[in-house]
Amino acid sequence: MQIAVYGKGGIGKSTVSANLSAALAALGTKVLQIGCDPKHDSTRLLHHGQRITTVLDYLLNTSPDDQKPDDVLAEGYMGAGCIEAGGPRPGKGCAGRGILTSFEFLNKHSVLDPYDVVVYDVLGDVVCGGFAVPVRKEYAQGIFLVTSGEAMSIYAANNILHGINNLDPDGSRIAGIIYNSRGAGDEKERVYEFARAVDLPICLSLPRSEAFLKAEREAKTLTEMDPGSREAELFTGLAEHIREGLQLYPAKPLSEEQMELFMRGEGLGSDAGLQSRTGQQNEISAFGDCEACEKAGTDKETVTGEQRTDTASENVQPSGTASVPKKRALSDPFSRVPLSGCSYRGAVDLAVHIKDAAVLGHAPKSCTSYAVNGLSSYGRNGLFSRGIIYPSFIPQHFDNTDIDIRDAVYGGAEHFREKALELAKKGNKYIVAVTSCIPGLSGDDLEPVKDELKAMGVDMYIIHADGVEVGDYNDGMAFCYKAIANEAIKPVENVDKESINIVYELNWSLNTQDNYEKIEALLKAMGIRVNCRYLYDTTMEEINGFLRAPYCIMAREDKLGREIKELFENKYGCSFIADSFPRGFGETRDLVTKLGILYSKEKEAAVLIEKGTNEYNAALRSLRQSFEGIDVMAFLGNSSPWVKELLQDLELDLKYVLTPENEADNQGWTYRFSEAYGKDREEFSAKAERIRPKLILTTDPSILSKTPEGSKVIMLPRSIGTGFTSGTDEAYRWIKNMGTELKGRWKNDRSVFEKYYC
Amino acid sequence: MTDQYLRSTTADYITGAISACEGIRDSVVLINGPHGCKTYYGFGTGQSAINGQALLGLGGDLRLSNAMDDKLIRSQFFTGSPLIPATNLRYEDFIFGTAEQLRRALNDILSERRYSLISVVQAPGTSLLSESLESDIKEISKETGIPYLYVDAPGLSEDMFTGYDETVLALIKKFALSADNLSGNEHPSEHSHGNVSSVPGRKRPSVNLFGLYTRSLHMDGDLEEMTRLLDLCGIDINCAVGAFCSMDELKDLSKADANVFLAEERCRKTAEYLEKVSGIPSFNFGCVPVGPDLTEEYVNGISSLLKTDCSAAHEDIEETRSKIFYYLAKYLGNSGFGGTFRYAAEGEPSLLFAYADYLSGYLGIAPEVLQPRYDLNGAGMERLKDILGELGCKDVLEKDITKVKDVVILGNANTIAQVLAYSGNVYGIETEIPSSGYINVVPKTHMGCKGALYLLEQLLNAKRLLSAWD
Repeated sequence: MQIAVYGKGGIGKSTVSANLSAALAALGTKVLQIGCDPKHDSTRLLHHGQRITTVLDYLLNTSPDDQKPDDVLAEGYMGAGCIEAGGPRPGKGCAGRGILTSFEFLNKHSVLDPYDVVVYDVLGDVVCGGFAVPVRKEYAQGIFLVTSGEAMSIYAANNILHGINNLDPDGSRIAGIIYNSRGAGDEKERVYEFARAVDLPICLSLPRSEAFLKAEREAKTLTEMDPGSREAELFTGLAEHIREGLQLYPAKPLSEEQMELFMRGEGLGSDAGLQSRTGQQNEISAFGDCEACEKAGTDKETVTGEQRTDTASENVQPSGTASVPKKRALSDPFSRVPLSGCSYRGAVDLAVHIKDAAVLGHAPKSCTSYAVNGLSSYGRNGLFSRGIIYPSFIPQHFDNTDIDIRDAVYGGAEHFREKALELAKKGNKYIVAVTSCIPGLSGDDLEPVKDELKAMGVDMYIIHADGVEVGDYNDGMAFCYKAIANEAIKPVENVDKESINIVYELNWSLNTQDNYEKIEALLKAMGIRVNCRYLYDTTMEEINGFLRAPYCIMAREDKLGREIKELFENKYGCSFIADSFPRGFGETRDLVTKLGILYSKEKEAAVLIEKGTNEYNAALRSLRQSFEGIDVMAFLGNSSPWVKELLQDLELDLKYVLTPENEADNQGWTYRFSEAYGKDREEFSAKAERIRPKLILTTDPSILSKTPEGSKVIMLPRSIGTGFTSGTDEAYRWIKNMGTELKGRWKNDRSVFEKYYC
Repeated sequence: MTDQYLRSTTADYITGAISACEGIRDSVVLINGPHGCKTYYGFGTGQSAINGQALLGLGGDLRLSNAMDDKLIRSQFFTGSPLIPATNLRYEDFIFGTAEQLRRALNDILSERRYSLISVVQAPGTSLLSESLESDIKEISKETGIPYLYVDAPGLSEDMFTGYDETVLALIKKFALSADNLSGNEHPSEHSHGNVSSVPGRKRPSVNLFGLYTRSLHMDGDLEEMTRLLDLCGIDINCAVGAFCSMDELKDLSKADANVFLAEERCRKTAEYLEKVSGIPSFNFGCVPVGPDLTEEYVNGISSLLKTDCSAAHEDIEETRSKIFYYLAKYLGNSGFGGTFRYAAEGEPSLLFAYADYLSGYLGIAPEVLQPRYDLNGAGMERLKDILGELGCKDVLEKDITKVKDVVILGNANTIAQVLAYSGNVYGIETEIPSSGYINVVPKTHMGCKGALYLLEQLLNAKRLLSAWD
């Protein structure tokens, strides 16, 4: 059972929570109390004022690799677990977001699992999405409202009911009211009247007592300091009822007008009185048994994170190999390797490839404008430079919620719902919704819209690419790939034995289609059909039927590609023939051989290989003549097997080849600016100056700046096309570029250029 | 296949704000947000950026002041693109606050280069934190002596030109018309007379020009043509606000004899404010001058206000009219552009008005679709409706530009590509970014006399090409 304690600030939530936790612990219950307040004093009475590290401070100062849940978990009275979420300094940052982060950490490390009861002590009101987390994320099954009879306290309690009602309108989540007396006038009657008006029981009525103050001065709960006291027994009684199981009630807040009438003592208007709206007698006697808290068969549940959280965690998990560099703590400025792009755009760029789905952006105008323009730049460029229209890069079926400041402040879920319904009414059977930073920060809960659309026969897939929350462009792609793979792939009755899936094609390159056509031609020559291109120029129908194909090929290989491949293997038992499209002759030959065996097409494979070999050899003969007498140096910072195969097969006069010691580890941004890389570059340049080769092949453009006179530098691409002659095609480009020297008298105007531009 | 639901994807307030800030020469605009925002809000701007990799091939130690040097490539705030850095925020900054990383970024950015202005613009997500950051920026500004502007509310989904207009106004209030600045300036006591400026020390009258902005496809050409036309009227430009004017020019805004406002969507609030407080007469043209008629009206208006001789400009316009007549007579003498040749255009209402005035009113081409964007309830929209009423084709406002075929489209390359992909044959005339990627070396414009001829050239070729499809 998980319980949240809400109420106005200063009303005594922490005292109530700590005494309740202590009482539960004293009864032998394994209890954990989590303080959800930046001032982190919720559990003080349980652990006697020890200095404990808050989760957020810990995350800020500890490398992810060193993080252990025990470091933020203190043991309190009778083994009660104590955790403080913590928060930013007053006036800085976003405390609500801090609560979310803390919960993600606790969830990731399954901290809550060993406990029978978890008590959340939540700051003040349900002021924003972050503080609604215990309710919104369905961590807490039962919610207690702590209130006194003071007007502001009752207003706050009613407001919390509004919040819970908004978040879970059909649920029963309220355990009841805990009345904490301030000893003022007729407050007791007022609280009891309020309880009747909102149809809730009063589970506990605490008298104003000096005993609490005395215990607090000792940094103890009353349950610990004086377990036989009348007040402590009240908590014991409540604890017993919790152990037996709580009856839960729906939130029925009073409207603003009703609240006003109520506070004036003038009744609630014509349709409601100060009587219980259900007619139930739900008052319990102070200090007495809690009859409304009788066992109601509430099942004990363990906390399970939503898919979204799990997926997000996957993205930040180290791969688990010893060679992975240690992650830095959040506060370490040097940990800020620049992120590339934003996840919203990454997700959008993929979503638009599902041709029969409408894409709904939940973002401000500019975010969508740039996402669409970024994507369409390939379409515009293709049209301009090649005269080819690439419809995949000219998104046509896109809509956006145009989030404004009202959505950001008050939440944009309703606005999102309206837009989604509009799309459904237009006849769309599939909608892929992508969220941006703003709904992530506002805490928009969009999942209910999915159910509503489902009832209308429309499938909605929500890609929670909440911008900064989940990372960069690649993370956005990851979310889209994984969400669609998890949700849209359906079981199939028949397998098409002569078909294959292609997975993870580069979605933002004009060469993708060319490469696909080359692979498709190879497959076609062997009688194999492409079943689904996941996710490139495809349809939801093809995705639904992904499992029709017995085998898959990865189009390219990297960390995300491996994750997607694992997902398909583990969840659907898919078989992958290759980790990437073949580059160069050898890889192509191997793939065709493998396809021939797996699809029982050995004969067709042999014919293809013979043809490919002949073409490759013919190209090599021609190229060897062209390269005769040309000495070569190569700087292979991120080379692939195809480069090495090609250099060897061309029988080049290689004077010097530099590759990093361990290529797998020495790639990317960090290596690029490392001391080792700098030394490599220096060494290569020094050798080039000495050897003065006719041709320098390099993966690093900066080599260009120190090119010896008479040497031609050619940049090697990170990747080339696919097929038997893809390597030799690249070598032809080298020959072609060998003849392109900087010519013309314009070079003499360098000084003029420097005068005006430098 | 579903329809296109977004009639157009338009940028919003923050883009306008960034455009206004980067319109100051040698300034830097720092986005307080993650790099994703930098990548996209910097998109389409950065006109003066040069890819450093291209310079490597030239060898040696060639460095450009605004090119990617080693520092800019390595810096986590620039990451290889020389304009519009970002603070490179991470998730944790949204919990604990962004001040620390902002200070880190400001110190890094201002440590090696001398900028004329640093503008800090909050990214949409960051703005929701409602942090108080100005004191941090102010402190570093004071230390470095580089003035700053802080845009803390980037107006989610609000009109791009509202962002542009309000930010230009903020710049003016802070740097041009602040009490400190005004105290040192001498105000013209009355306007100029007979080609003489009322500003002491100036021979010719001068104007401040408002309404040009960095995201225009042809900003250089627009400014060049406006400068040329004004020169023909004996008028100088004191400050072209938003078009890479210097901080000194901005500070000396009050030393002009008149303020000239083009496209009203881009400078309405600025115009209203300056008309009230600057003491300088205004010439609010409301749109950009496209075609000979509007150009003549434009030069007449300014010359009349400043009492200058615009006969040279009239001669230029007259020559333009004669050239237009010549080419129409030569190629389309019998039928003109003809009833079947139509155009579709998208843009701000005042821009569409200007195109309609020239293309329909002067050249006699009927519009097929006019798709106004931004500020749909302003004076520009009223003016557009009026002219369409006169032309008897108000219905063109209701049609979808992505559904046209066999027309000339004046719009961005996205729209042109979309129509080509999904609708029919069109001839595209690019009027705004995003562009197709065509590299403009010679400055081009659709404004003034040069613009009238350039547009005519494109239309005549469009007519020939579209006719070939018939």
